[in-house]
Amino acid sequence: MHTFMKPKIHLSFLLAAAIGSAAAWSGTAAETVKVGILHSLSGTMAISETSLKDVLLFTFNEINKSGGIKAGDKNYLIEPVIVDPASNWPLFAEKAEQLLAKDKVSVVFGCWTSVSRKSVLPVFERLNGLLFYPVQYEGEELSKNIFYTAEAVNQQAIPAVDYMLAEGKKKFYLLGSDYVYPRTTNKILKQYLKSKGIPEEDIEEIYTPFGHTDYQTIVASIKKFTSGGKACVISTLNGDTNVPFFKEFANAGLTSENCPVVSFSISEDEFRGLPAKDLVGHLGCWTYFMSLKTSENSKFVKDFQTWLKDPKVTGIDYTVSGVDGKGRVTCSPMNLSRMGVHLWKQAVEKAGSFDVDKVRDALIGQKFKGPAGEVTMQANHHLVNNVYIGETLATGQFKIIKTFNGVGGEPFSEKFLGTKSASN
Amino acid sequence: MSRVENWAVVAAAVIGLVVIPCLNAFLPPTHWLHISTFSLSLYGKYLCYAVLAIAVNLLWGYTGLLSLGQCLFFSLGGYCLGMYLMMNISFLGQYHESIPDFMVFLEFPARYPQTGGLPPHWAPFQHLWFAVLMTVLAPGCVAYLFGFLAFRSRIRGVYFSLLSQALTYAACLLFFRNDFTFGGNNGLTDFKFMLGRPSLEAEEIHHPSEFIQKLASGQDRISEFLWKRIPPAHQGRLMESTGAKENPSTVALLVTDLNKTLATQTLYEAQRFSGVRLSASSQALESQHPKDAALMQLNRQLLEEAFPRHVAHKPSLGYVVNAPSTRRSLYLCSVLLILGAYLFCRWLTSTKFGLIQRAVRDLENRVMFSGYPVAQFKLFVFVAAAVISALGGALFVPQVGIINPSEMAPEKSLEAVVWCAVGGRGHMLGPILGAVGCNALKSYATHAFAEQWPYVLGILFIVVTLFMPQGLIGLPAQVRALWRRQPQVVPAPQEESIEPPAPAPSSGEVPAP
Amino acid sequence: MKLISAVIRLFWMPITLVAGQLFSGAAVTTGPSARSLLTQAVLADGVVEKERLLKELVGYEDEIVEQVLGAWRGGAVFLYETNQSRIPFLLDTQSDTNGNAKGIRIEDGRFIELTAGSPAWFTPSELTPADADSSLRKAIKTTLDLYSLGHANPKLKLAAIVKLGQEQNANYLPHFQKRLQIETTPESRRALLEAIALTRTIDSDMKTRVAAIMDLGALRSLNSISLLRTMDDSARKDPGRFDPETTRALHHTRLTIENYMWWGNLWGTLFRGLSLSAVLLVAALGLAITFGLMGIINMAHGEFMMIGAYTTYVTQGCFDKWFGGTALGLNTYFPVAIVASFVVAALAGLLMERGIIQFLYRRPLESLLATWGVSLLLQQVFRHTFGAANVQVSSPSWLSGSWVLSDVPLAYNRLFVVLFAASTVLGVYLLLTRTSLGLLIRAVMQNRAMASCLGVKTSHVNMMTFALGSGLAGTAGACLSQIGNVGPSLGQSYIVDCFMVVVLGGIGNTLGTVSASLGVGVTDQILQPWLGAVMGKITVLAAIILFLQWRPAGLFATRSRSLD
Repeated sequence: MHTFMKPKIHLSFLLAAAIGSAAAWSGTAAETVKVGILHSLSGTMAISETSLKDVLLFTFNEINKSGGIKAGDKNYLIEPVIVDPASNWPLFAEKAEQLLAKDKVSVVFGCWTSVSRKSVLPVFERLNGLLFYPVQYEGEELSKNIFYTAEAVNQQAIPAVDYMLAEGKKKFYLLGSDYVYPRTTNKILKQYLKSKGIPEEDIEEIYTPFGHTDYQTIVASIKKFTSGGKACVISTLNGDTNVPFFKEFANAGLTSENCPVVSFSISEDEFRGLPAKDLVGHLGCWTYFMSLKTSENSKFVKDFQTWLKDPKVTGIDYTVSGVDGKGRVTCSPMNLSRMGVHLWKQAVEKAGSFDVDKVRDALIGQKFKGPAGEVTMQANHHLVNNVYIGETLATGQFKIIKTFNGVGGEPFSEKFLGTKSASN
Repeated sequence: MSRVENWAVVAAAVIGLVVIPCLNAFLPPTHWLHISTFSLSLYGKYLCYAVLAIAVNLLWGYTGLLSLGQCLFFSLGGYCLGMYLMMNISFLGQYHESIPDFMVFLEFPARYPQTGGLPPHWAPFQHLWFAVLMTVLAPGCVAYLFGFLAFRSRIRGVYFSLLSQALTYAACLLFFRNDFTFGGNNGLTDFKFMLGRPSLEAEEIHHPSEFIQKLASGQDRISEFLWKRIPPAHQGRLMESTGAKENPSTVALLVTDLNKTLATQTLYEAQRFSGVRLSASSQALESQHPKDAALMQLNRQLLEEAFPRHVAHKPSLGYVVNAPSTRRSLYLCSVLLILGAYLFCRWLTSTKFGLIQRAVRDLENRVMFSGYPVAQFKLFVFVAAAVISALGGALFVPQVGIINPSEMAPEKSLEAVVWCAVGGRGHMLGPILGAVGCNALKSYATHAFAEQWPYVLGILFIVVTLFMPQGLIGLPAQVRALWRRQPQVVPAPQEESIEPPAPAPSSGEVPAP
Repeated sequence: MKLISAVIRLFWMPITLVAGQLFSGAAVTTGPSARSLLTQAVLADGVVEKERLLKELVGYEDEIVEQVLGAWRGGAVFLYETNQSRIPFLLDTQSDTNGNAKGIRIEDGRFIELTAGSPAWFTPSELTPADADSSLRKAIKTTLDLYSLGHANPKLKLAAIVKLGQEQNANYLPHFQKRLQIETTPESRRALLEAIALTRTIDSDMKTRVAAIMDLGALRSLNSISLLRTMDDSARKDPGRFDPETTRALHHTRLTIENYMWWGNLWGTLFRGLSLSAVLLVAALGLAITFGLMGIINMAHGEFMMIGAYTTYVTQGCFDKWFGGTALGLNTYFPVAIVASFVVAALAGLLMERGIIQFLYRRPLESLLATWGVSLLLQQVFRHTFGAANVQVSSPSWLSGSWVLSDVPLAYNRLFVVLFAASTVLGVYLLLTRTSLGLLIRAVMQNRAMASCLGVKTSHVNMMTFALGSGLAGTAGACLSQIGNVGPSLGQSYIVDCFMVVVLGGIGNTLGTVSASLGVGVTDQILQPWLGAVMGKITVLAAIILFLQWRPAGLFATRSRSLD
């Protein structure tokens, strides 16, 4: 199959060279390197993960267009291998192994839910693969085969709560979907709030099942909870259940003024399906917002929008399909996915090889100036990132109201709960 | 037909039991006929699903009970074995503790202080015999209870199907809860050892006082190395206990600390072991520079050899779940299991029992009026099918490496029914063919057309139900009929397990079919 | 469109003018106009100065105050910066095809012009909104609230009164009292009285205080309960904290209100139960026909709901376009969407019945497989057509907010679902029992062969029945788009519940479906506060399984002498 494609690759290359699009390399034939994308494109998680697949392809195109990856004295173009683990956890493990053992990819970008990461972790450790994980998560894990570009709890939940405390909030309603990320985050937050002198009875902790559609009782109890004022909701509800929650919330007469909601799972991408007018003034906390005013960001947003109109991966005979170009936005997991690709590229170039052990060593300390400021890969496989708190606007964008500069991700809560973590 | 089937089964058994494992074990990976361990495990997974499909078929195809909750039993079996595997992670988790990670994090030590954080119902699962027993008993009991209630009050047809769906949905929600002590949404994962484990047990330390003194003296470099890795606070407690009467809690402390070292450090270093005579197996293992689980096995062996007087020799250090040889064995077990399940069902359906079973399927009331205790027949089949599914689930878990509540979600059970229908229900080989075929197609399609595969699968189901009522297995007969240009191409299935639940008028006649 | 709004504005202007003069009296004072004050406030340096200017704005009843302050809070006031000056402006609601709009100067309401006669066009995403940090937003909100004390919209007025009352700020008392004199609506009067009483509970004069506390009791003021509780608790811990009269009044009032709350909770739970039941009923009614009457296990039922929901989304988009994004489009699209979703889903059902189901009437369990295949297909089709993410369906204004009845908020969208459920059930009942189509449907479903012998075109009736069931699922989807999310997996979250409701009610019995959904909904809502959402749901499922022990064929089993 591969040999059969070669002529086409040549052709498109000649074409690309003829147009003169950044031919910074010299070489006869284009070498390619296979890179795996392991995101659910069907099933319940497709709603979130499809965007990450798109941004990854966009980033590959970006790298290929600028000449690919220079490893040793050769240039390699990225050839994506997309699989669909279909929101099915055993299938995640199977697809991960397929990518590593059969397709022999050099690196995999993927996973959204914690359970999918847990499912593929033994596979990556056994076959010594490399996975970049881009979605905010609960920590308490550190594998030498995974790089967590995602926000750790101390890069999202703790700064957000610090902000709420500074705003004079005294009562905290912790609401989450019943799975490990909310449970863990809330457990850490509870400890943290207690250490800040919030008494137990002023913290409420409630969980609802996945796909819960009826938030009447919960909103009624929030309404009771807020009757004395100075209350806020810390929400770790996952994407789908936010709509019924916020509709109910707004209809009960609660607003961001009398009870702001800080959501950790609503980014610009989720916003596309949310009733924006019900959410104005509520807060989000991420390491990236689309509304950031940096030159890198406006270029990223603009390039991505352009790419969506004509999705392709330059230099590779590969048809991009299933990209929905309407009303697209960028968000933190998307940015972190892209950061992962660029950091990996730099590390490969530094190591001069795609060898996992060498790349892993080269990745530590790698810096990249991204749309949300410079990120640095730490020895604990987490990024140093800027953390932003944003207020939602009716347009579905966030207005940044607070910035914490250079917060280093720390997966294990015992390490940051003892001391104050997020520093200004 | 039967002869053809016999030959097919024998051939499949030979290929599955001999040819495939040999191709995996003895051919070099570069050879074109080589079957990778990945493929082998994949086949193993398909076979486990096929066992589930056999169970569905036993219920649906032969007894007329369409269970939409069969994956509950599959998962329960998986959970039982998963718990055994979790109990044998032996300090190789993220926290390097004796209990599984999620228990450490959910603060189980505070909830169950007397057992060091292990919920009481978990403890016996460290023994394989108990886990296997529970694999049979737990799903069996659930099936018995549910079946007893359902069949006693003559819940049948669609009611039964939907109730079984509600059951698995409720169980799924229950297992999702973190408070339910089965790992919540993340489930059980990251297995390391089976059939033994390399960690030290308290009773494996002989003469503990002397051992502690030897370690503390730091006479040799190994003792020095090990002692340094015991936290100073613990060192003090250990030293106090020497000379006094042996205290089980100090021994436990020592064992835990040593285990953490075994799990995290590389013990071997040429100088460190210069005074120790290493066994041939240790040397061989060392030369491979093992990692993770295998490294811990080596460490344990080295510890035994360095302190022959104090550390008991453990005959089996367990098998690493992820090692190719273990996976091959697991695959072989799956082949044996499916053969067993197939032969059992074949035997069952060929007996007089099977005859009644089919009679129940075709005209339950008449069987009942003939004086047969229909409910008990159905109950037996339901429990048997549950146990078969559970065994499939138990072998599924070590091969895929995860069990989590979403395996109990209603759509998984529906999928199993679909395999059965695609393969051809009411036929012994149909469901096996269907399960393997559908899953292989899914494996292929999710990779080859990652974006479009749901179309492929969706269309397949529609086509199969519309045009192939006998499934894949009935295809040859259909083609033959077509070839003979018989007007009736598709023989409508003679039996229908469930009549449309038509409300009869008050005058109440039997509705016409 | 423009013409109409212009006419309305023409007639409205004098009314507001007259009203303004009637109500405001001394409020509108001489001094700078609201517009210029607003401009100053936006441009002022420092939060303190801005807040001072905002305070000054209190008392102005010009609509522009609300418009600008609201926009400011929402980040929609922008600054037009030229070399010397900064001009605060709003964007015109009319935008061109690229989403660009003209800027309206706050100072005089004119368009910003580059040169005379050619207005400047702005791209919203490229503009920087005027600064509004959270403390400033609070100040804006306070000003808005004080403004809203006289707001034309009673809902907003009420919210403002309650909010200001909670602040217990004695400075607001004159505002409240002034308002009380001219206020006529009972709700607002009650809220004002409550606000006054609340503010006076911390009065230094004992008599005023006791009277205020007793007033709160008489008003059954829920808004004050947490305050009263704290006061009462502290009085109990430290009996010398208040004088005995106050203590007694506190205790008495607390008991009165708590008692009232207990009843309120009960009534609230019942309403929530009713509303959940209505949701279940709406979702399950279509299934009660396709599954209950026809015996088809339609696993794609949820996807028909999804079709309905997406039809609503598309209709909303069309109306948005036709009415140029005005509120009129948003407020009128929904009734049309319900009809459209019925039609579209019914057509889809018709297609599926002709294409697949009609071959499977004799093999109902296999209909399960084929329809499951359809469900997979439909999900993927919608995922590819509309994108994998959820789409945004906005509620018309008449479905947002809630009607507060003895302090229990009855959300309008929920009330609507209840009414909708009731009317659909009634409609279906009438259709089945009072029309000739209903007669045919019943005849065919009860005995297909017999009906066919008597000359009924059974295949047509099947088709119609299935289309009816699917259409009902479609309307359910339209309804659910008002309370939940609209995405490719919308149907999946309801399908198990739907089947449970139909089975529990007794297959083929509409009355059964109604009672079953009522039972499940109310039980769920009663259990939820105690057991939590997850355990509540598990308990309900377990209860259904056990209940069917007792009545194996559901609540209302169709009695017949036949066996199966």
